[in-house]
Amino acid sequence: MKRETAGVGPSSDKTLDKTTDECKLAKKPATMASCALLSLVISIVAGMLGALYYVPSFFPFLKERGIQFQTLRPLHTLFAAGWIYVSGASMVYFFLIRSGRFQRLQGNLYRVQMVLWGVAALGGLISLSLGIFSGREYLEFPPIFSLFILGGWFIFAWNFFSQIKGGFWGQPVYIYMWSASIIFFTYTFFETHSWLLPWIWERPLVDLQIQWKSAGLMVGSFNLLVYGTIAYLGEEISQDRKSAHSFWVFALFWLGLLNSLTNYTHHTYHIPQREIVKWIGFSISMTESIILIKVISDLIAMMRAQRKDAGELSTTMFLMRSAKWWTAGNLALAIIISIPPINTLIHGTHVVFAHAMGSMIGIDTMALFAGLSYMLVQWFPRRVEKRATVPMLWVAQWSLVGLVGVMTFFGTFTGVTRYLEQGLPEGVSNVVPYLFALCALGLALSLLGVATHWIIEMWPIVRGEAETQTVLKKLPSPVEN
Amino acid sequence: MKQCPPTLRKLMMVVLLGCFSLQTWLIYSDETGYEHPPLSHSASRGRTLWAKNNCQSCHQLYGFGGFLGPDLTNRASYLPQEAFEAIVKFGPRQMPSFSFSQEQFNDLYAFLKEMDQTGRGQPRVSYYNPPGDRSFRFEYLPWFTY
Repeated sequence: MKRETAGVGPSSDKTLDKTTDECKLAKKPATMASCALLSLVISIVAGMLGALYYVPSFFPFLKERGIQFQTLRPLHTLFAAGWIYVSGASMVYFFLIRSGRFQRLQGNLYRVQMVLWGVAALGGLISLSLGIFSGREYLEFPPIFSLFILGGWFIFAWNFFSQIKGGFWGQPVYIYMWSASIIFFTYTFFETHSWLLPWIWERPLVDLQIQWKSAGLMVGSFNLLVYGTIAYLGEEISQDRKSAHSFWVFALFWLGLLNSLTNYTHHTYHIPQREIVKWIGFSISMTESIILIKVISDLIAMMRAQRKDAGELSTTMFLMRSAKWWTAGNLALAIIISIPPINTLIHGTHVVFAHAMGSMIGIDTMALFAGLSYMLVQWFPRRVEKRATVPMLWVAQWSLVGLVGVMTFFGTFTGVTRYLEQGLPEGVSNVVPYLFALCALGLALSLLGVATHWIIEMWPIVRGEAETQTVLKKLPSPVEN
Repeated sequence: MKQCPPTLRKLMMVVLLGCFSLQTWLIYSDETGYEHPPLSHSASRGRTLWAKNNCQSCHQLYGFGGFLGPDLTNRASYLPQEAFEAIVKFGPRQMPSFSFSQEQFNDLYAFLKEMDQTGRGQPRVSYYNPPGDRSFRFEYLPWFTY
């Protein structure tokens, strides 16, 4: 077999030996992560205000002041997606720098990328706040800003792919995940703008089919960015360079990606379209059971194993474990709601919302938090304060459990009564909004606490005032021979 | 731990690309969406109005959109235009009020009317159960399109 050289390896010595260089380079993913956290803060504030719109005694206050739900929702979703993409990208840069493959050219391009994404974020914030909408779900900002997002994405893609030296096929699984994420996002971002073509716009059914094909793949692309982060952290923490090359890891990646490409149709069963597309979506959705069994067996092994004190990594490990629990819960919910008669009942209800919250906060946000805390531990261990973070994360976990539970119950109830053409019982419609608001508030405040705490911790790093405390470990090549 | 050889990795990616290409072809060659005529000029302007005011943040079409307001896919079937205009003009409960011209109201209503013709946005017991039977029976629930 041809020996393939590493994407990580001895070449790192030249660029990373000097502390000053390390400090300068460490600043880049830390700056990007801070921007991602700022995006999360904006999303949480908009989401928290949006949640108050569901409470009868609160919404008049917002409505009278001109704070409209149709402004809050797009701000919430745009910046939530921004948080996941940008923090995922910061983890990729963290990997590139740690592996010693980050060169001067990449540094210059990185600055251009940050400017482009910054313009897009500012443009989205201003235009949405002023009520200038495109009306496209999840991409409500004017399409001109899509060009800035795409420009930044191309630079990110270049910075990543140009550093994958020595052949693609021998790389660890997280390189595959990040590569698939970058390629599919690029494709789907073009596809998702097909509504700008007049012959698509004039045919709403065709538009819906394409829109949900691209939306499904877009969710798949940011999930892959997150799963890549999880796989990379798993390898880094275990120091087992073979784990990211195992047959099982690749098999699960393959199955996960197959699901990302095709199972979105469990959101479009009810749209008039080819039955075969729906059958494919249903059949492939059911294969998620295999992933669920694997995750459950991992959870059982995790519970049986004697837990050691993880020291500085305790926050990271806590977040990794919680992401795993949420993966099991969300997979179970996804499989149930993919069964067509059940899907008939719950489609367009808060069950879908519960599923989205569980995925985006329970899995994605917890995994990305784990990545950011690992970044801090590796480069700036003095800036990690686990005593403040872990309790806030516990509040977030239980608030999210409450939120997902309340929304699943409410959505199912709504779905059944809607099907039976009956109104909601007064008791349910009176109590649920308050329970929802309570859980949403707990979740929002705890996540805000973590996000602002880490922004404050990262600020000296961003300003270049904090020095790296650890010299990067030189690890053996992760590429199999 | 058994390693995944590069040959198998290549095979996996080829299969994935094949599945993705097949799925894309199935979507783009689907004639179902073309069975209905394209939106009229008035409905197309109505759709633009719907988009510019971000109506989907609260309302759904075919279950897609926000959950704060009702699904409007088939609302034109039983909501006369005068009642529709009154709701949009005065903005009950959480809904903001909109000051549209009569032409804009006509366009927006034309859009909802033409959407109504494309299919059913939500399942109803009366679509599936035998006449007179309004009980909840799991076996009557449709598998796919309502």
